Amino acid sequence: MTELDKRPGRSTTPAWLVVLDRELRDIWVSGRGLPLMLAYTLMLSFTSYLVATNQAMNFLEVRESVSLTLKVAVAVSVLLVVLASADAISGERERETLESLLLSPVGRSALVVGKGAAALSLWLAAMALSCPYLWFLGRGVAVVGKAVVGGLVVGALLALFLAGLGMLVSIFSVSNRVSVSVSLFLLVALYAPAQLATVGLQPSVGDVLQRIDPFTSGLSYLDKVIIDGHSPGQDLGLMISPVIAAVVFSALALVASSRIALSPWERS
Amino acid sequence: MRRLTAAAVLLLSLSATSPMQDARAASSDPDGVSVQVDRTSIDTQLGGRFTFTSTVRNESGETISGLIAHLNVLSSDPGTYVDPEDWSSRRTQYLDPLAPHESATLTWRGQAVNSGPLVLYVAVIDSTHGTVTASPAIELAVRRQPSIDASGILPLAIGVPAAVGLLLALNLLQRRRTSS
Repeated sequence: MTELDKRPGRSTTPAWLVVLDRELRDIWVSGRGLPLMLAYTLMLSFTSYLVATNQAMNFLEVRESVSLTLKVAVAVSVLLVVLASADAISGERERETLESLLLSPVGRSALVVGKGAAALSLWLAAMALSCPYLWFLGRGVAVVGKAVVGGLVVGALLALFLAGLGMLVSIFSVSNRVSVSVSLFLLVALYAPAQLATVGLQPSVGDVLQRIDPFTSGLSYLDKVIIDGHSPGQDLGLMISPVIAAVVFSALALVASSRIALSPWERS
Repeated sequence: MRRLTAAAVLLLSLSATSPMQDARAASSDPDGVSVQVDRTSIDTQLGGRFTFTSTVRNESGETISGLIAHLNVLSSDPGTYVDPEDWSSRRTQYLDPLAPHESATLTWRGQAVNSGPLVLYVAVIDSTHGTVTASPAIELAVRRQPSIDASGILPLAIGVPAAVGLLLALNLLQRRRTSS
């Protein structure tokens, strides 16, 4: 917390909540929240329709259908978080509004927390919108509850990881384009070796690579719980990398908040 | 037509040499080879993958070469069409020459494409002597999987985006009103 946060006579509302309130309005009232949700639900509708109507052709069992739809929902919803968080600081810098923001009586860490939480609202709304699809596909096999809870837990960890990553890159990026590109490149760089692991590598090496990538590991956990019917505690090893990634990247973003400056190269 | 004839011949040889009740017992030709399978039945669901092994043994006193093992699947329900090509990507295996009383174990992998009662067997063709020996049959029970009732998906697939689109339209309208 900076000196600005500690000034007497200010509102008792925590500074990060003030930032969150403003960011939520930006995203949901005058921003891209609703258009993104429209695109997201269209994508989910398309996926669910294909899964439901092509089930016999693709041998998809009901649990597999639910798991597939849930994994798409989680993956895309957390990618929305990257788009929002990668814009958080570099976007203000690009729009030349960062200076006024830095002059406001809000600490830099509060800025990061507020903007990060607002970015997470995209994930939360997207997960809420995926519930009707999961219910439709999973009714009759008592798997909807497991899918929703599992999706929320894995999604929360991945969303925190990506919010931290996006924010971290955004702090050190000169423009929004650079920030989003670098964030997505880092994700692909983690994801690609995990996918390579499925084609031809020794099982032990492949397993390690898959467990290193928080994305692959988290989504595999959902498969184990929903398709294989494992208990939530049975495959907790798969949750190690999502948990570590969520904690480390959120902490790094908070630590790096002290470096927020008008130019990414100058020290604040 | 040639395929059908071959299948009929193999089926006849199968029913003649391999009672279903004793599938582990080898189906054999005392002057040629015997073929064993490691199970009598497989229970799976539609789309399920299965694996089994067969053992081909040279029962004669001389080395036999040119043995070819072939996996076959057929339905006991005349109304079910079965295309074995869909069941396994590797249905033919060429064996190395077998010395007297030597055996070779072959692994077979497949995926259930049709539901219902089916039969799997392995036929071994001795291309040198022109004989065919079939394994005992494996009873394959393929269950139908619970399916999704897709009839309600369209209202949902249209309804949710429509609701979000409506919210977006109202939001745009309100913003336009506020700005004017």
